Parts: sequence; C-alpha cells; structure tokens
Amino acid sequence: MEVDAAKPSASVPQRNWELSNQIENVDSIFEYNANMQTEMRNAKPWDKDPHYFKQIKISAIALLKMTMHAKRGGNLEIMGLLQGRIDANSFIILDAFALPVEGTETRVNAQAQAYEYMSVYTDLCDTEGRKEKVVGWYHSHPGYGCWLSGIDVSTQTLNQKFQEPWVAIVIDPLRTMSAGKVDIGAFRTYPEGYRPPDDVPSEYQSIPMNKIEDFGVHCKRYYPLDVSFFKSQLDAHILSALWNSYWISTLSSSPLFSNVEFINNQMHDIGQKLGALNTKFQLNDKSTEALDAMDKIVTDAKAIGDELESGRISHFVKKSLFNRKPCCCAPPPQIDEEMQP
Amino acid sequence: MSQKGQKVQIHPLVIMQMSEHYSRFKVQLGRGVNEVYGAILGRQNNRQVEAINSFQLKVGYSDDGVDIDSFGERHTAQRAEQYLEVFPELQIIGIYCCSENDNLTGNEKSMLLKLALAMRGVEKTTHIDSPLLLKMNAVKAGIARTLPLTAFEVDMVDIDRISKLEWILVSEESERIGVNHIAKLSTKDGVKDGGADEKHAKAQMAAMQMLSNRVEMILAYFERVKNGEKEADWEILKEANLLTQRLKTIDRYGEEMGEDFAKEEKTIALFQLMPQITKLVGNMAHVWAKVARSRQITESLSDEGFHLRQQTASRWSHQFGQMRNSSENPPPGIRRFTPVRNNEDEDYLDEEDENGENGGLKRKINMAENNMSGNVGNSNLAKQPSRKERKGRRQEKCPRALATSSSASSSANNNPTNSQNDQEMMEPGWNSSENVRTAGNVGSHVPDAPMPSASNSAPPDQI
Repeated sequence: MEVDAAKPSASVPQRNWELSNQIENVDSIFEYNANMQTEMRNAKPWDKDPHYFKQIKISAIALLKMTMHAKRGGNLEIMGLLQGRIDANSFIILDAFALPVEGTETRVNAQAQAYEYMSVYTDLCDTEGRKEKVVGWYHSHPGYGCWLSGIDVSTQTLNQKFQEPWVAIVIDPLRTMSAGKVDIGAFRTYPEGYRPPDDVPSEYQSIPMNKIEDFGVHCKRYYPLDVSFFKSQLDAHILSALWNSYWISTLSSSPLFSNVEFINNQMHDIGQKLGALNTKFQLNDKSTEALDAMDKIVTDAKAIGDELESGRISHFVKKSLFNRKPCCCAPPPQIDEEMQP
Repeated sequence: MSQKGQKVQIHPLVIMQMSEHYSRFKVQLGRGVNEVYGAILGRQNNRQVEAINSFQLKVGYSDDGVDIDSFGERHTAQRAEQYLEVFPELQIIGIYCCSENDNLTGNEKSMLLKLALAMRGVEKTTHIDSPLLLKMNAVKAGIARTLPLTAFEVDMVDIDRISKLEWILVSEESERIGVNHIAKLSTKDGVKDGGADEKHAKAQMAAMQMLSNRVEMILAYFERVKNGEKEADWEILKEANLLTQRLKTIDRYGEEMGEDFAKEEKTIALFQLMPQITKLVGNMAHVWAKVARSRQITESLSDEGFHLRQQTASRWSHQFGQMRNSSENPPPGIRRFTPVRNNEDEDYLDEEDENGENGGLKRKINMAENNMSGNVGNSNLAKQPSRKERKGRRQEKCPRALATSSSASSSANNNPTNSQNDQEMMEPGWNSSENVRTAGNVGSHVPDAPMPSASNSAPPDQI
C-alpha cells in the first residue's frame, strides 16, 4: 500500500488547515434523539420566523456522495435527497442518496417516479436502523453556479409548505472541477408575499448570460444558509491517510486540461455579456446600472485569470521538477534531491 | 482476481462509507455494536475489480454483538434494485465489514453466503463467483498512519478458501476534490487565503514536499544499508534502480516536453490577456462615465450645451456620437479617447480570434458600432488590414514580445500619426476646454493602462 509511514512533517499543512478551521470532529454530532426531533417538528419554530434556519452542516460522506453524483451527471442536472436532522437553527445532513431523475432544468422536479423511489428508500432506511429523516433535496447546476431558478424556488416553496423542515442544496460540478474546491450552496425560500427586511448583497457569483434573467427574477425569494462540514474522528484519521496518497495526482493532473471546456464557455459568456453591455451603453442612460454590470464582467474575467494562473503554476512545477534542462527560472530545492539517486 | 499484480481498486467513497457507518452506529446504538456490514457496489472487468460505492446491510444487534440471523434478505434485494436503478453500470461485487479486529471471524462468511442468497432474486445482477471482502479495523485506524484495510477474495464454491488481495486506492478528480475539501476546509469558502491560484500553489508545494520526502526516505535507506545498519532488501534496491533508469527516459523526452511547454505557455499568455483587457475595458467605462457626468455638469452651467440637452434620453449614445463625430471635427480632450478605444477593441479581437471562438460575435459587435456611426466605421475599416498584419506578426513572436508589442503598439507603433495628432490636439485642449481636469485625469490614466498586461506576461521571459 502506498500510504506508508511518511515523515510527520508531510501532513503539517493539513494539520494547520484543520487547526485554523476548527474542524469539528466530535462524534456526538451523530447522535439522534427521536423525541427531540419530533418535538421540534411539532413546535414548528420555523413557521414564525421565515429566517429561522441559518446554518447547515454537511457530513463528509454526504458531501462526497453529492459531488460524485453531480459529476457523474456531467452536463445533465441530477438530483437526490438529503437525510439528516435539525438542531436549533441548523440543518445537520448526515447522508444523501441519488434519485433516478436526470434532465434539464425543466425536468428537475421530483416527479411521481422519484417520489415512489424515495418512499421505498426511506422505508428501507427505517428498517436498517438509520433514524435520520429526509430533510431536503440537492440538485446540480452544471456550469452556471449555485442559486435557485424559478422552478427550484417553486419546488422548494411547495416542499417548505408541506414537508418542513426542508432545505435545498445546489452543487455545481463543473465549477467544482475548475476551481478545485466544491462549489456548493444551501438555500431556503421565503414564504410567499414575504419581503426580506434588508437587502444584504450576497456574495457575487458569475451567472451565464442565458440564465441571468431567471436568476434576477427570483433571487429575492430565497436566502442562503451558512455551509460548514464535519467529520467523525475515524473519518479524520482516514482522511489523513488518504491525503498521503493524493500528492501524486496533485502533481500529475493539470487544471488546464481538465477544464478546457469550462474556461472556453466562460470566455464565450464574457464575450456575450460584453456584447449585450455594448448595446446597453448605447441605448440606456442609466449609466450606474451598466457600470455595475461592467464591474461584474470584470470580476468574472479576473476569476478566469485566476484559474489560468493556477494552471500555469502546475505547468511551471512540472517543468522544473521533471524537465531537467538548465533553465533560467529558479529551480526549487527538491530538484536536487531527485537528481541524486 | 488473485492473479499476481492485479490489485483491487478501491475508491475513497467506499472507505469513507465504512467509517461513517461504523461511527454512526457506535454513537447511536452504543457499546453493543462492534462490527457493521455493507454491500460493495463496483465494476468487474475480467479480473480487474473496482469498488466504487456501497450501501449498508440490515443486521440486528443484541447486547452481545451482531445478530447475523436477523439479516434482511428482502431488504437487501430491494436496496440493491434501487441502487442499480440509479447507477446501472455498477453491480454488487462483495461486502465490507468494519470491526475492531484484524482477523476474520465466521460472521463475514455467513454474511457473504446470505448476501449471495439474497441476490439471487434480483434482476440485473450478475452472479459473482469470487466476491470481494473488505475488512477494516476501526480501532487501529486511529493509531496507524496506514489504512488498516485488508481485501480478501472468497471462493464461493469452497467458502473456506479465502485469499488475501493487494489493493490500491484510486479516485476520480471529483472525488479527490471532495476529499481534499473536507480534509482541509470546514466552511464553504474556507480560510481567506487569497485567490484560487494561491491555494493551488500551496497544494502544489505540499505535493512537492511530499515528493522530496519520499526521495529523502529512499536516500536515507541507502545510507543505512551502506553503513551496514540495515540488511539490504534486493526488492527495494531493484525498484530504486528501476526508478533511476526511468529518470533517463525523462531526459530523452525532455526536449519534446520543453517544446510543448513553450507552446502551451504561449497559449496561456494569450488567454491571460483576456482578463486584463476586460479589466481595461471596465476601467475605460468608468472613466467615460465620469467624463459624461462632468460634461453634463458643465453643459448645465454653460449655454453651449443647450442643443445637446435635447438628446438627454440617451446620454450614452450621445456621448458615443459625440466622440465619433469628433474624429472629423475634434473637440479637444474627448478626441483623445478614440484611438485608445480602438486599440482596446483590436486587442480584444485578436484575442478572440486566436481562441477561435466568438471572434465572429465580437466582429458583429464591431459591425454594429460601425453601423451606428459611419465615421468610426470608416476609420475601423481603414484599420482592418493593419490589424491582420499585426496579428500575423504577433503569432511569430514569443509571448513576452507579444505582450510588450501589444502594449507598445497600442500606445505608439500602430497609429503613430494618430497619437501624434492626439498630442498636438491635446495641447490647445489643456487650456481651452472646460473639462480640463477630467482630461488630465484621463491623460494620466491611459498611458498606465496597458501596463498590467505587460507586467502580467512578464513570467514567460524566464523560460
């Protein structure tokens, strides 16, 4: 097995990360108190406060399952359900399972087939000793970011009416691959007719041209939850062992190759947006609005620049490590050691 | 699959699921639980076995441990059907057991037999005659640095014939990102550690550190063997020798790689121009807005602006029109932007053309502009050949030269007459124009503008 005993220093960056992030690895998060859950479900504190839920904690396994399922779907949207519980203001997601539903935006809404699948699945869970209830759903937005579309909003609103507590998770497999970190968002919709008190501008994200209208119309009808992740102690040990064997693929993979299509699409999108803006500039006299749009395009462009830059870094690393031709860029110290054997 | 050299490929998801299953049951059901079971889903291609996913099996627990007889056959069959509906390319290839010791107990075997029995009723599954058995020691996982995971192959004809298998961890990109993410970051955005590229650089550094550690380890081993502190293991020495042999092949392919590298480096440099140029366009837009605003103020102060105010419905178009008309009869100050803007467009266009995409789109936009104001259309058309020339010239150059030439040409080379004109035009403008201040601002801004792209493409000169 290649996960052999390395010097302890090898995982120092990882340990620092964990320290600085205060990763919870207390196993008590797995506890499930059925009485308390029923009590909370009966009390329905979320009926009174439309902004009741503020956080969501996702287990390592649920995150992994969602990421892989979303990736498997490729450019098709996939969907599945989340199992977990509620704890005060937060959802705790322990597991996720896939639904046999695939399709474009219009088709992602839990239909009869999916519903039947779900009820069989949860019945089985009851008998095998898994106590967590279904508390939400996840679906993917390949390439266009994490937000709720019009259909998503109505699905979520419907479920919040009849299936509370209910949360929606959106995951973008393409941006996940491109940025090297999981692109995920969790949302709750406001009840109909509710107006959010103060408009806190949410974190900016790039939304493609053909989706921006859909986004703009509905973006005031839901709010994002704070997403965090947790793992058990055993998970933590296993993850550190896995980490030890990952360095090879980190060195050998290049984001440039895996994301060519995504980056091209992004550039195309920027081109389109600029084109649209051009007409706007010529016709519209609300210049501040147009300027804002311009700023957003610039942000998008910068993001692509970042991605390209990271590709370039991998490139340089590979060159300096494995191409031992004398070159004028400063070779990293590792290269010497490699030459000796 | 017991053939030598054939290793079972195991995805992290399976291992994580074993761990999660164990931890959850331990917490929820208490001390009585000391082993958990699940079915492994995966692919089997001849003797190549890949464990990809899993689901837990239904077993009851009493006070003194697992109660194998309570295994739910119907449950398992239903569950299997459900998973196969969502993941049609997978099949059940065996079971996992996560317990607190390393040795096989009789339980695993009876579990396997029960599973095989349950699977008989399921359509779509193929019969497996040598299922996989993964066994993890959850107690040891906390202490050891290696994964306490063992893989076995069971012969279903003779259930006692169990042979140990070698296994290897494989993962796909998305899985890797997921694992990395959960291993490192607890919040959605993680620590505020700069941009994506910085994080990437850190990951690369860590990986290089790891590589050098490995090399050091080998060297340290040699050292000790040399000093007689350690018995020489010929297997290890042979592999090390193989490694050094391989380093020579790297040399052979080095040149080829160098060429590829240079080519790709150029492509990246070219791509990199795009964000920079977009940034410039953004800056320009802001400057225009400011100019427009100050113009309006001045217009409202002076009577000269009277006839212009009739057009206030479209301030921008007026602004554009004004600028375009200005090429014929240039009012000072504003005139100065026109060539700069054109250069902007051209850079962008070249970029798009190189990418081989939406160049057409951009050109269309250009056309739209042309239609909008004939004057500029003429000037643009007049410039078209020169752009082609420039593009041709560029392709032969190395990225750095490219970048500098683009910035240099946009400021001077390309339109020497224009910029000279500008300079001349500017001179009277400084005194006579009402918006001297704005013009001054812009004047100081524009020469700076191409700098970022030039400085950004600086790295290539290190090649």
